Amino acid sequence: MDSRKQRSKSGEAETASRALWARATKYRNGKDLDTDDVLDVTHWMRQVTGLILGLVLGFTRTQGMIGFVAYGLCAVLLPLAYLKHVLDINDEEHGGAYQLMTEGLMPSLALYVLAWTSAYSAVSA
Amino acid sequence: VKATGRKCGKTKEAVAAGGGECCGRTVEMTELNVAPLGVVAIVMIMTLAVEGISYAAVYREESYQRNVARVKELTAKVRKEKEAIVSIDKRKTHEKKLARLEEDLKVANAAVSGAKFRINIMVSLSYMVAYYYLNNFLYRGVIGRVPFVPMGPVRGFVGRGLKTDDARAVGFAFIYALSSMALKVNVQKALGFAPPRSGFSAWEESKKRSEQYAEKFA
Repeated sequence: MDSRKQRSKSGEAETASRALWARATKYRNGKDLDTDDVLDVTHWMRQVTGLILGLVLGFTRTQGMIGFVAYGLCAVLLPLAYLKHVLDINDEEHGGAYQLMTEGLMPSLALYVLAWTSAYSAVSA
Repeated sequence: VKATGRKCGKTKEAVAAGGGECCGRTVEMTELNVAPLGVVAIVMIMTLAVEGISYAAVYREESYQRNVARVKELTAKVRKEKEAIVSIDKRKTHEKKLARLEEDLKVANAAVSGAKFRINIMVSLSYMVAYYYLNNFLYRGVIGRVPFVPMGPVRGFVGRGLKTDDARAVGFAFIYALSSMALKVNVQKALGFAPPRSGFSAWEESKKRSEQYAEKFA
């Protein structure tokens, strides 16, 4: 009975996660998302953007502070722009612009620097 | 032209023996440096193992799940009370209710963190042992280079444990620290084991206490 309960709980979590992404990718669907959903979407967008940007810059051997400028534009501002212009979300209803700007920022920055350094080191041996 | 020599079908040794000639062009032999990726893979395995142990020992307990649900419920109530607009005559009652809810939230948060206390101590010790062995026996010296010139205190962090003048050289410690910071939070969130977001902020709490202290002696 215990394992069935656990399986149904993990099945529910997977359905909820798929439902979240289905809602978060619909145009102007901000009203359908609560604060936790908005913060989760911001967090994961930041992680994925940081990872992809780090790999691209690393494999293209990009050096210097321009990498951090690119990070600031893509990983910090892009999720905010997506929430505001695509999902039509009012940041005041979900903790304010500061909360949205800092959600998942440190793990994303670490992931970005890690991806950038690893890719750069791999091709610049 | 930089290449690994594999595209023309010749082995690296054959190309090197032939003076670097490959497909009619002279190539400079390089190898992919995968040492940083090795560190990332080890940290990922360790993180997954720790989360597995935490799940077996803590997360699946009903008492832990009850505490997590309580934190979520109280966080929603605190958020609602903070956003509520009350008349002046009901303000004191509202403030008392909010203070009580915040106190309950603090207690509930302490219960959630306390459940993982023993596991956290064991995990920290295991990470220290793993760090010692990996740093001293497996990944000694420079294992990569950062694509930027680190400045100020970051310089010491990047080149930690290395005896080199190259400011851009990185060793095991830097990659290990970055991997831990990047992977731990994301693995927890992806597996659904992340602690609940709480409206309680230690910074705001200490700010409130300082203000009360200042008012007392003003």
